Amino acid sequence: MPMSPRLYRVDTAMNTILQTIAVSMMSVRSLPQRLIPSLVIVIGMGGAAAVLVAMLSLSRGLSHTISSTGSADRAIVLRAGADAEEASILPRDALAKIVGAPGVARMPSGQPIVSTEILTTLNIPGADGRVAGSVTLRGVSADTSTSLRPEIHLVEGRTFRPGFHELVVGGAAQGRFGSLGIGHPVKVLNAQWTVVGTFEGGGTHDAELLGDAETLMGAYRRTSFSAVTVKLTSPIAFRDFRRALMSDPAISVAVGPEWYYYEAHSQIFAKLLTLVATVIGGIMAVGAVFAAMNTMYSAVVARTIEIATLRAIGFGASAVIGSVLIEALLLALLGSFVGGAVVWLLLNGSVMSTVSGAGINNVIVRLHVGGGPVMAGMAWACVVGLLGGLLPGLRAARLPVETALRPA
Amino acid sequence: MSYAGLVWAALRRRPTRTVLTALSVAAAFVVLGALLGFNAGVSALLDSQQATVLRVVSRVAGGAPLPVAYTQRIQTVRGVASAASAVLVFGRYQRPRNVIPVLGTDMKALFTIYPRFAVPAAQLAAAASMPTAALVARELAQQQHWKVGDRIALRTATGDLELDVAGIYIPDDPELATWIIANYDYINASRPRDKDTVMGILASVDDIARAPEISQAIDSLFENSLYPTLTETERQYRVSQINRIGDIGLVVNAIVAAVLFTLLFLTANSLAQSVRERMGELAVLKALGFPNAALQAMVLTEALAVCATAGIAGLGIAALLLPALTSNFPTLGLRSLHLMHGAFLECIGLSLIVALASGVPLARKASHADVAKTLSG
Repeated sequence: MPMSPRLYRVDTAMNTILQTIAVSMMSVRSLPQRLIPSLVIVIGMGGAAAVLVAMLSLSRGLSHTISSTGSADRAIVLRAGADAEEASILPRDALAKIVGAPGVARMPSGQPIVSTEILTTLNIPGADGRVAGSVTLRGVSADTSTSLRPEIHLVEGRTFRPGFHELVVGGAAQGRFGSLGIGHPVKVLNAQWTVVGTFEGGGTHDAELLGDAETLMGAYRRTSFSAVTVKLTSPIAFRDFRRALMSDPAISVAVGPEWYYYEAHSQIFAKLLTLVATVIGGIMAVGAVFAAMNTMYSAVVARTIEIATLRAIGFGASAVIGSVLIEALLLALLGSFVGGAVVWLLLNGSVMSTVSGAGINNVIVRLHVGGGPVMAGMAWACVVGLLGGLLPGLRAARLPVETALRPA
Repeated sequence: MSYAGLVWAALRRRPTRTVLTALSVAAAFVVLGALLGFNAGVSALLDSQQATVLRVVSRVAGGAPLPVAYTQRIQTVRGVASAASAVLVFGRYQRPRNVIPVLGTDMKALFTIYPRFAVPAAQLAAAASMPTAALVARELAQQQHWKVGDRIALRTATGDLELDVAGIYIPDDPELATWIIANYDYINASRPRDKDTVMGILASVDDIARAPEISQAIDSLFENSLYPTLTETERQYRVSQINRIGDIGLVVNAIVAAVLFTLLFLTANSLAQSVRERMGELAVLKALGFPNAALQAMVLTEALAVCATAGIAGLGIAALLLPALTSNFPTLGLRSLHLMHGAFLECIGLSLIVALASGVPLARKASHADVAKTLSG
């Protein structure tokens, strides 16, 4: 019975797919004979994927840590012209104006939820007595700190008491410096302060030490703050709060929503990391494409007789191309999987320190390898596999059957 | 046929493979060159920093002010050659985004502290005696089309400045390439707050070896005052700035290791295929009387030729790429960084190591070829 043209087309399409599957299965089964050359694709792609996954994870971790610090119902007040808390100084008389501005949230007792903050940097000695690194010490208002930042919670010990030389340490800072355990002394100027608790949940604050602002200002004999953080009655109240402060000629301050402050400071460096990841990972991926082409060309050469035989007994050219592409793709995917797994084994959960650009020091990022970065690695593997397999596949399809089968 | 001819013939035997191997080696060296060049640039920057210049700042973070009187007192510390007050304001010129750092200082003292900053003596003398004078970095003057005699108006967060360009200076520190140097007294007078304070004091010392004890002497002078100081050399300051980028060295080394591992595997495999296919030819050469050493040398030369050529090509691309990469770290002052001499040698060394590591085992294999067995087939 003659087939209708339409059915015939469907039939040939099905045929091509079935043929491709059959040839691919065959070539995959013969992979062990070409083990070492095939490993070139796996290792080449693995290297590129490892670099990409590691750096993207770092970039995402950084973004996440910083943007989880800011909240829409908090505002930061800095001195006009200062673009970072570290570079800001607010005189005490500005505080009265800030507290009196509209939109400031209050506790049931009527006390405004405002924290005067003072920032200093401490050098933390390592086990060998030399400076192992530096940590930001943030003085906060002790009585409002839990209402202002409810997301920060103690996981061990207790909180600091005003008037005493006591500090609490963020989990990330503690993870990085062994000498910041509870009960350990910390040298502030020439006095010994003691770590009395550990907290978590504060985003970038997890990389800091917190203490009482007034006690710290006394220790440093300072009369001015670095910045003031304010809890607003609602995110919408920000406009009135800002307008009141900006229009007051007696003080010159800059006011911003807290989330915006942290976003603005995080994005530069996170973007830069992504750029570096893409450039370096990209060049390595280009190298991997060439390596994959090399391997697939030699695979085609090694399979010359096999491919010619298949063609002679009626397998289509597209099935041969398809099988070469699929083999390259599988090997590249395997490579990206291996690269991702190695990064996961080596780096997942580890703690790295970095900065986010101007203003925020010593962000300590806990790396979580997974999800997006690994998917990006696999997507690149698909591109590398297809590009690497395409030309060798075409060569395989164009193999002259009769000369290939003639004994040499 | 000469040895070189034999090596050339071996490379042309499978041109696709040779070219593809060379391209992937080149890609690897683009990465290696860029990373090692970055590292070399950072350490060159550190080496260029003067250990003779001390920076005195407040022990309280954030540029908390110090009294200007400290400059005079530091001047009297034994071993201090010269001390200059420093206050930094950011002026906006014409457009809000056109921000120019203005350093208010004692001009004469500053140029004594940095003798490598070039400025005509007459311009310096004139500028130091004119309150509103400004010395403009050459690069900045070119950017903004300023020349000596121009009057420039800058808006700052603390008031407006009207400066007269009195001279052009050439800094050797890329960080200062777009700065204006002005008189401390004028900047001080323009400020509504923090009068008679400085953000820091720069001091030069007679003897580099004594820099640590002089630093300590300065800090102990003010230890029990209202404004304790922190003194470190410029070099220490820069090291701490670079450490602030985080575990950069760790990241660079990890990537270099990953690239090298991949590269080694790749070249070794490509060369192994080439040698395997030519065992017959090598056996013929041996039968013709070529000594083992000659066969080994040929295989090694083949590996070296590919690695060195591709490596140098990759380095060339890296050298073009680096300026773009480092311009993203403006705060480090790495602006003029390029592929440094040291990194170039390092990369050449690496390419030789990769060539030898992949070539030596195969060269041995080639020379151990059993003529009778290989040829009988």
